[in-house]
Amino acid sequence: MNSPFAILSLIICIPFVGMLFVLTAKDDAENATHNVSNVALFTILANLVMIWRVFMLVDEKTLRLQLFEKFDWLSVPDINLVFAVDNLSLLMILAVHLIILSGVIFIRQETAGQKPLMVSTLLFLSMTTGFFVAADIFSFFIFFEAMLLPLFMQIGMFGEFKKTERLGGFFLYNLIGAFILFVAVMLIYKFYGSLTLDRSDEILWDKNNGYIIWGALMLGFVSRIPVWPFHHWISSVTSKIHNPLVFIASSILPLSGIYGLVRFWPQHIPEAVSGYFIWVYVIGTVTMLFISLIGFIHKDAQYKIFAFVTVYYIMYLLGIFSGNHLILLNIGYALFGFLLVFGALEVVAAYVYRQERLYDSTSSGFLCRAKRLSLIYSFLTFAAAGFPVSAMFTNNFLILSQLLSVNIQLGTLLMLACIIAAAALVREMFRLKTDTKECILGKNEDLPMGLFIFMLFVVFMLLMSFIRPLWFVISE
Amino acid sequence: MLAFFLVAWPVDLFRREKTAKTFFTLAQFFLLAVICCTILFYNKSVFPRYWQNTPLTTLFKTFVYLLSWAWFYLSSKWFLTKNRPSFKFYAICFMLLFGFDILASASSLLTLGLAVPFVCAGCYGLIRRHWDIDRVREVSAAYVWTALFFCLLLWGGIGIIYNQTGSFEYAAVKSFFAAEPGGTVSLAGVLLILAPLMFMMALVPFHAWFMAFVSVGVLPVCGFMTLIPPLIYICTLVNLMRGCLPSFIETTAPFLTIFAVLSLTVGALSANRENNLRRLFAFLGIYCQGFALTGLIGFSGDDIMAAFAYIVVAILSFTGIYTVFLSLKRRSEYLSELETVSGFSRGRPYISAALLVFMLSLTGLAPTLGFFGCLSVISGLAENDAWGKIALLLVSQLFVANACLQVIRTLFFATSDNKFDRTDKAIYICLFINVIVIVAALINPAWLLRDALVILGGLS
Repeated sequence: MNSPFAILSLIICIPFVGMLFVLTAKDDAENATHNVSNVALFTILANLVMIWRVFMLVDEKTLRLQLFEKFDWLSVPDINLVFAVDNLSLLMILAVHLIILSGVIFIRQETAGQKPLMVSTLLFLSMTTGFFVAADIFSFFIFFEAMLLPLFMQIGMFGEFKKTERLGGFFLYNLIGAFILFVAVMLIYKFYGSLTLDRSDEILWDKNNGYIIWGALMLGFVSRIPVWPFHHWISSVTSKIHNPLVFIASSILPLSGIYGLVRFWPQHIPEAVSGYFIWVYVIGTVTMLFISLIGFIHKDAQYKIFAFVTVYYIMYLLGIFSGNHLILLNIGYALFGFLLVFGALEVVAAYVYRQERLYDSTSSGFLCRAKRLSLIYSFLTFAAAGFPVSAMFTNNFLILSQLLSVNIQLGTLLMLACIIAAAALVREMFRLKTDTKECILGKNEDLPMGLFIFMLFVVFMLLMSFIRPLWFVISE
Repeated sequence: MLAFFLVAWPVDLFRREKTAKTFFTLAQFFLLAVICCTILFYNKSVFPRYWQNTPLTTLFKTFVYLLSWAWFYLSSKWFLTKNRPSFKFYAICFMLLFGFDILASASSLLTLGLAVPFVCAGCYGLIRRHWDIDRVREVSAAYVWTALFFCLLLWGGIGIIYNQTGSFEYAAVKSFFAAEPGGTVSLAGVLLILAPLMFMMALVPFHAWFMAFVSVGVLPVCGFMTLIPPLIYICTLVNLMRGCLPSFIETTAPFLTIFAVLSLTVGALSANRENNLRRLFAFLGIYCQGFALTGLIGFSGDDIMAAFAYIVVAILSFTGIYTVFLSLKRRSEYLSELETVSGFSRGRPYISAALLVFMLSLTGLAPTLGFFGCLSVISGLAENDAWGKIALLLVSQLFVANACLQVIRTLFFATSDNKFDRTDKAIYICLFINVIVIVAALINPAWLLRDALVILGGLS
């Protein structure tokens, strides 16, 4: 173990311990206003401090996994749990914490009945953090599967979801993906032992069922990304969620697939296999176009954000399949900005939606009267649309140019899909800025100060990430 | 164990103020004595020709006694709520434990031939404890005839083996077949001996009695029959196959595989169409037996270790689930229909959360302890390149997950405002302890199974 105070285990444990505190916290409207969300808030903030500390311990110049922690878990079969991080995983952890924090701050306005939501959120956060710090195949798989249950509970209880059978299908579908990954993990264990992730290149294609292992790994990860034919269960559930915290959590699920592919992407791919990648491009691009067009014509702002999230996830997937290892790092940095943008945008969109429902009014023109909301909403929409205000811009630019160099026709279509998804968001913003007499929402319904300050912080993070992604790291 | 009757019977006859607590108190003292004796005399036997203690049997028996103690305690709550006499329940359970003790330690086919009918008689006695239901007579009569049939098969099988080897003793039979491989007749004899064990384990297609039992059962009896016997039957099977019939391990493997596969499939599929919680979990119990048997079939040290780990974890989960059943009450009536417990999590969030943990553990999903149990079995199969079996296990796990999702949806996502009776604090304490054991064992499985692994490790 070369990690001080088992700091990586600690950042997994803190949300879990926070969850236990939330479980015991009082949660009634009269006596315990914000009690539960305060505990959750404090937990996430405490973990953010720890994550910041880990950033300082990591050597940002190297791309290798660092701060290894190893725990003997089982003797038969011989399995150790290994944790380690690099900049990519730390950026993912940081972004996930920040967007979940934004969701918690939004939810904090509700007074009571939030305990199950906060419990499942903190459990989900703990499992997601575990997933990003997992450095061997077994711990990676355990956390990959462990994310599912808290998410399922969140969606089931707070997703305002009427067809719970479909929700069961969503869970089982993801479970099948996890089982496919499990088969790969068992095969890897049989032939190579309990591999750490930085040794995944030892898995040979032409020996020891290499094709099956790689096939199962890729299928397991791709099943989490809403690309055809895997899109149905994800889109049918995620697009209908109006609770921002639940939406954010459910949108992190595809991230686990993208991250898994980034981690396991082989150095060398046989030509017999890479020849098929063109089909991945075709399917991915068609899915992107299809979803972006639906997003554009759909009236629900929530669906537009869902379409934006899906289109970008598929773009990153295709970026990985382009086979350029330098692009993988760009995808990491782009994902950081992308997560912050969509998480914050979802929160402000949910805020608008809530005000609409609360006052039973249209929101067309709301942004003309609510200045704080307008500032944040506009910035985030422009950031999402690809303006040079966050790390997304430069990194997406590199990823798109790589995709264009692979296949100019498909690359053009892919860019078109991104433009349509962005146009849908911009169109929604203009709708909110077009004043109408029917809109009774005014400046009194503007963003609460707490949420506004946090959103300003997110805006600051995005701007700084454009200048230097790891600006907050003070090297020791 | 027999001394329990000597004390409890006069108490039942002569003591005026006797409640379930009285008999539980007696039972716990005697169980404590039994546990101490089992551990102290772990390698001592009075009649080694007929039954013999080994570290393996001691391990299984100790676990069974501890579980029995826990279940006796929880059962006393049921008897107190219902204000029912409990002497016969505790007496029959002690009789069954005695039978299990002999069965697990049997070192002679003669002992096996006597212990099996004795245990069947005990089960019959327990079925007759279902006071309220008219179907009891019908179910118990069906059980008696089926059990009698399987006992006849057992005796027929023992007769064939005796005819071939000239001995009842495990060691003698083992050395006979080691020197002279058995033919078709011997194999038929072995299968006839194994069939009653499959019947007692309630493996498909011999599971009908168990389902009928659970359908009409009162909670303490159902719980006892679900939680206690599986470990003993596995121990008996291991003892028999390794100590007496190791030459037949390979030849009987396809037959055992059929039972395991059928139990897995039928258990997982049938659980999906059940609306009765007890029947649903009874099917999952059959599924778990099938899962454990799939991992056990090779009977190597690693196989036994994997099956033991899996079944211990499953039983811990079942203990939790049955504890939760004790809290599913409305107007002092215990609920078992799924629709009657909808929205349970609103009124009893902690108990629902505990049930969630137990169900997931039973399903074998990461990061619960059940994953560790499944992993033990599956890694053993992967070592033997049994990928077909692994695929079957994973598919059946999906069906089990779906069955559990059905329960989760009803308990957590339904919006109905059903009211439930206040839950006894003891149930909260028991659930808390169970969850702690599961979580602690998950963090480091060696805490729960270290000694077990050491003892069983000696087998490889």
